[in-house]
Amino acid sequence: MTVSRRRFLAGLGAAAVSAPLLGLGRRALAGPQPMNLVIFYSGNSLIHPSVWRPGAGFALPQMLSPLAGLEDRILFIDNVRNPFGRGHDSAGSLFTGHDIVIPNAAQHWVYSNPGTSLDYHVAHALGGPVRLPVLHTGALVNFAAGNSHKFVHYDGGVRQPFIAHPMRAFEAAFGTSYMAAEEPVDLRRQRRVLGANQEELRAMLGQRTPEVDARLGSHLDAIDSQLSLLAPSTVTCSPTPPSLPAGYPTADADVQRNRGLVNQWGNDSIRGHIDVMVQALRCGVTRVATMTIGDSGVDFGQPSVLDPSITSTLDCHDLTHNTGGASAPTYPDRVRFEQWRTRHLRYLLDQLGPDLDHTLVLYARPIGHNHDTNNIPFMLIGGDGTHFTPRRHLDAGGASAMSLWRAVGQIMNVDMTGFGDGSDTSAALPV
Amino acid sequence: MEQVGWWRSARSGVVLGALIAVGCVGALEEPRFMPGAEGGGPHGPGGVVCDDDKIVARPDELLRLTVPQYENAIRDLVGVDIAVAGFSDSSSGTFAANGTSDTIARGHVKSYLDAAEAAARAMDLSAYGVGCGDRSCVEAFVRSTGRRAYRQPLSDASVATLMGVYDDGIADGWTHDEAARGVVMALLMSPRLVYRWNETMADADAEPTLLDPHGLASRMAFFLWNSVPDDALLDAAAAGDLADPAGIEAQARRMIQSDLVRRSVRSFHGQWVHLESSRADDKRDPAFDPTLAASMRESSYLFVEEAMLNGGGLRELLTAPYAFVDSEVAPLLGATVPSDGQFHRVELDPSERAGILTQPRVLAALARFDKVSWVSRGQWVRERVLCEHISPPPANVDMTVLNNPERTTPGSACASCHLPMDPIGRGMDEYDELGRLRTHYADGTLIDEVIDVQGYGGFSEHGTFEHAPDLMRSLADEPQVQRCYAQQWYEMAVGPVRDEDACAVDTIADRFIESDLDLRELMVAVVTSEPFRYRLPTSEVSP
Repeated sequence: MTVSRRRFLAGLGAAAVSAPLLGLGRRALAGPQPMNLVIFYSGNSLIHPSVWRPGAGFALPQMLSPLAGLEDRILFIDNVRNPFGRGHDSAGSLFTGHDIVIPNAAQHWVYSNPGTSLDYHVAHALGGPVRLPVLHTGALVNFAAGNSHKFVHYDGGVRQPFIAHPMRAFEAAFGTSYMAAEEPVDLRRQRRVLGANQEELRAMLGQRTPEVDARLGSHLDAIDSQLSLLAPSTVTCSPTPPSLPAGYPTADADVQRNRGLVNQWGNDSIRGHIDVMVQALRCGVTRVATMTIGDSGVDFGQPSVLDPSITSTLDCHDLTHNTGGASAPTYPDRVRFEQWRTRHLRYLLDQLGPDLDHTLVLYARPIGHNHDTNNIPFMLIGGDGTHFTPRRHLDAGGASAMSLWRAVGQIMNVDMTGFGDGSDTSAALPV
Repeated sequence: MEQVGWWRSARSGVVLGALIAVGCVGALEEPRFMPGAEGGGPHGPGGVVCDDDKIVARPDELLRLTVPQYENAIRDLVGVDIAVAGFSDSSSGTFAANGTSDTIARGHVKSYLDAAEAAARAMDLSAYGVGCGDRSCVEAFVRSTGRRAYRQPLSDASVATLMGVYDDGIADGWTHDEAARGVVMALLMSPRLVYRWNETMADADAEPTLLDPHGLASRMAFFLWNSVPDDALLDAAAAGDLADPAGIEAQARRMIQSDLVRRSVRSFHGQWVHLESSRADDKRDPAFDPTLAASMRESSYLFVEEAMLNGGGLRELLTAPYAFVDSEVAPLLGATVPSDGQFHRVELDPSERAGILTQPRVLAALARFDKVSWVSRGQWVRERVLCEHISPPPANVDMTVLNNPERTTPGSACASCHLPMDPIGRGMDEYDELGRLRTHYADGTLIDEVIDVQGYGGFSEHGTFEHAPDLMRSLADEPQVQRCYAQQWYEMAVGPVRDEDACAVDTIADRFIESDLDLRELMVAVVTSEPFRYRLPTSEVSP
């Protein structure tokens, strides 16, 4: 673990702060441009396949109508299966190729996964001098309920939390000194204090067991990582803080604990995170970014607040699960809610602009229609047309998610050896 | 059958039936050992033969302070209340303990940095003698407060490291206060504070060894106060007064008379009955909001403190028909809202409420956000009150369906595991997910089932009961329950219980029962026990 992290951080130190230059620098390199990866993920079920499946000539279905004009960038895939299907809990295995571990049956929604999720696998395989392996953001999220958004991303068996406040995401991407004309004492003091901590840690090494030394080593690495964020800023791509409207909560907790604020500022939160993600990718501080939209229910996600055209007062979870087919009273609202989600995806694609040519956007949900883990739809969007064949509906015929992740690995040009638990050897989907 | 209140008139009663030992192979197991429960006494609980000459110790494990311990330490060291945000604690059993598998990530460092900086900014430097404007007073602070933070005298190297922050800061143009606050930050983030470093040792002796006196003082402080030691305890350690059980007991009795013992009492019960569970913070009910959630939590903590520190101990904890209510909680319990809105003790109908399990916060923690959970409630009684173990369900079980009566159908695949749990939870359906009494389910159905509760161990000998208060009164008299409670305090002190701990736990449980279930006596018994005082090196020292 220590070795891995050190390898990842190798050369960061002072060099870390110059990493943002590399993203721009890559543009000048000859040959095909390396791809970045964005996972646009949202919890819960989907409306019926008839609303997500493209028609003849790749006519966009209702759910995807906000993507009109981008058909040539989209590969739609469905009939993908999660072999570890467990309803909502399958969110924990979706991206890892490992089944989840439930330590306490009475709280089955609190689980872990021993594997590494696709985003972190790709990030580690890409390597390179980046400030963050993955910029992992979340909106409409809450601390309590919501296994389908909280327990999705793992790195070597360790669950990876998302950043819920767009400003914190901005700071994580660009450091806290990004705007200071003159570096304040606070920052210098933080660096010096962390240096003192490292002195103490080094003095403690070699006094106990190798296991203890490994833990202290991880602590040293974590301080290294934090120091890289506190380094004097040399970001040259002039990042702009996310454009959050007046009144947006300043406290991290308010965007995760207070249902009213979560709902009121939900759309601004999503857009704010997207603004940060796009800049972070553009500046090269990361090559992998994830956007997690929670909509976990318990009223942390009220469709009628997020989209005033929706009249149902059901929360996100209940609305997406409402059955009854096209004749159900809430059916129009369910369609509108899917379109609401797609509009945010459209915002991401528009913000990426020309960067979409060297970005793979993966649209993912944990389950299909009504907890179905045998027919989950996905979309691959982006690239310059050479990475996969767009404007196409690919029926995966029940292929496992692993085959899709292997296809993603091919597009990203990364080695997928060692990904998953080893039991699924299915070939990459022919994308 | 006695009628005990209008709300239960419709019920026919719940039967704690006579009771077959449930054949739940691989699911419900006997307690690991329930010392003395079957007449084991001090020698031979659960068939274990106790050897008075053999010292029981457990391997060194480097622990990182839990979040409450770290927050308490900051409060005790620099007088500032700080809430550490950004991470939670891990555990290998019931209680939080950031042990061997714990790893610090960048987010932890950021959280420590934020907390230390906030504390250093808010700290009254002059109150701690640091505001004198001179380097010497900062160093005096480092040596005095640092001794409590590190739980031992600071080495010259540690002093130099901390004072290096001051010296470099002054050289960089910082003011004295800016540099002094930097030293405070470095102290509060130091790994020698963050880790319980001096409770581990650096030798390769394979024999059980008494903890270093300062290490023992550290362990006592975190167990009894959930925080760093005071000067008196460290002075006792330095003077050699912790070298024998009598000296340890003297310090322990001093410490448990302090108000600081409330922190450990809250810590234990908060984890034991899930008072900090996020499940209790999220309810769909329109009457529920964060203010009510906080009041429910505080109400339960006040109840615990009253029962365990001012009242009759465990028996009162399990059966007392009173509660502390403010303007938020009172409506949940049908109590009169206090005129000042603040917490007051109120007496409740003993046929409706009895003890901790009928507290609203606990009932909410053992429920989903919009409905009760038979499994959660029943499992808590089995595992936390009776110390029985219930294995996780098979991987292919659909656990999204709550409260399924088919799972307890005799002969079904699920029954062997659910029979011990679900009927207990089902018998508590009279409390909704906020802990309010109710007579009907949400769909209007009357709550009136007659339910057999499959017994197990000592629990099996109690015939019938009508409602949860009856269940709690039955449990309170069970030796298995009393020993289980003592066992869990032991677990919080030294870690998950192993077979070789049987005799030590048995001795501790005996002292607890002999004291008529007095928590303070239980705490003294734990800190004077061998496993608390001794350590066992396990691995070779790094080259």
